[in-house]
Amino acid sequence: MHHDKIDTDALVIGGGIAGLQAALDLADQGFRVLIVEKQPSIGGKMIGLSKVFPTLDCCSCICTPRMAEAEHHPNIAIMTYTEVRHVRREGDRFIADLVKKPRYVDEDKCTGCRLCEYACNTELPHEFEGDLGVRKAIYVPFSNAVPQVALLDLENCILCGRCEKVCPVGAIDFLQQPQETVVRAGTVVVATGYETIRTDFKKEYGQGRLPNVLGALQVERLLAPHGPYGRVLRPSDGKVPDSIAYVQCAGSRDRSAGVSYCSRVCCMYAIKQAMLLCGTLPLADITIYYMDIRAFGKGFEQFYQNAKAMGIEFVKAKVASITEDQQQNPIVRIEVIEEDGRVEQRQHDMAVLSLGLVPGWDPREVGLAAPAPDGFIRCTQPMIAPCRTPDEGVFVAGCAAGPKDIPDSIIEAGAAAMEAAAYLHEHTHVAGKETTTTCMK
Amino acid sequence: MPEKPDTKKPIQILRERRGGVPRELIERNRQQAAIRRKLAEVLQSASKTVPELAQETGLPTHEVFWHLMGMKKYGKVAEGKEREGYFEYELIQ
Repeated sequence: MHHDKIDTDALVIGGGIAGLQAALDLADQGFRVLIVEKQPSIGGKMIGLSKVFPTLDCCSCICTPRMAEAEHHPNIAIMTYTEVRHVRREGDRFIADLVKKPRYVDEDKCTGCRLCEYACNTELPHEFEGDLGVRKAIYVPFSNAVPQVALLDLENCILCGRCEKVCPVGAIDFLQQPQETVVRAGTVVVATGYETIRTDFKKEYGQGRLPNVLGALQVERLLAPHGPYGRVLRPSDGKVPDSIAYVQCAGSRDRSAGVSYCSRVCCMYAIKQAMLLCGTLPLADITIYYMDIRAFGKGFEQFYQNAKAMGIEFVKAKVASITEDQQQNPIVRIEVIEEDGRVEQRQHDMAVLSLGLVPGWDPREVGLAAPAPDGFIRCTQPMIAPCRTPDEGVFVAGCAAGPKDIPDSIIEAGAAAMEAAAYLHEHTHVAGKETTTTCMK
Repeated sequence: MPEKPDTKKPIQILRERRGGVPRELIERNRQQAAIRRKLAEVLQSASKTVPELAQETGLPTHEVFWHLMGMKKYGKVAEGKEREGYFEYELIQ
């Protein structure tokens, strides 16, 4: 295995919007930053979203410039497709062991032309599209991925060699090996984000087996301009849905799913998606089945009222179960709480689970302190210093500390960067004077 | 006598390291190619919707739709007009 050594001021774990913002805020102060991202591109969950609430600004238009800025910043190095194996303290420094997984493509040579992708004959469900779309065994992760470099899925490759034959720059490297890197850093910012609870979390909701019951992140892709179908269609047969149901609190405030907390964003992202669907499918009926609408942020209540005025139906009911009829139309079973409490079964063309947010990473895996009881990174002083963790010199930003929306993640990333900068000044050295960070994609 | 240099290509070395390519991967590739061929053949005559293609090919609608979206993404088919809630798809010649 090849070994590299990197010396830097700050190690940022996670290249989503919180990690990027923290890295940019540190780098703009003159600190050298290394961002480590486990996925083949930076951008995190945000780059896969359609629009943000409550302004309905385009997510790509906000996130892509941040990604590009981080990629081109002279004080930021980025390692994608890289996992953190261990973090330990040695005096004033943190030592992190990283492993960069092989892409089987030379990152310095690949131009992202996608000729290899077009030549490949193996088609697979595309993870970035929530498995709805198609990718090849060799592929560029998505259209605005950073870096724009292909990646070979060796497990599904039949080693036919077509990609190697068509590559105009000879970038295919079938013998690439994992690359081990040891990083010495003065501080660590954890921005590992979240996952949504799996769609099979509840047997009453079909356990992920009903083709027209989707997770909210899948619908984000359907609504995105470069989504898997190019428009909103249902996956079982490509029908334009006439009636769409939103099932709120699917995997939040639900002890049977092991998630007792509110995920904070589901009400607003469901309303946002419903409004976007109204624009895309003007004749469709959109119904949101909810327990409470929690519109607590700036402009959220007005956003909710606008949705009602657009004709989106809000029904106060906890969906008990979802089944399907012979045409694979989802049938939701509800108790109509605000009328006479009768139990009804309503048929829709498509149902969307507003899935709760769960932790994406356990810090114990790399030797950091145990998380809070909910699984998110523990904050030692949540009221006065919410970015501090039990490990001195390790700070947290964004959804790694708990569910929150994009503006809150960005604010917290700025706070984590300030805490990290203060820590660096106090414990190590003056910004950028002692270290050098090798630039890596 | 000097040792003969190893002239194997990297892809051959990788094939050997992996002990060949698993049979199920090759079979899956064949089946995928056959489905795409079948869909292209049916679309030669006229534009069709997903349920029509499923009926003519005997494949489940979700499978037809998934392959069709792959063919659309990689420039083999194009979306046509909407008919009774379904879009027609046509072959790009």
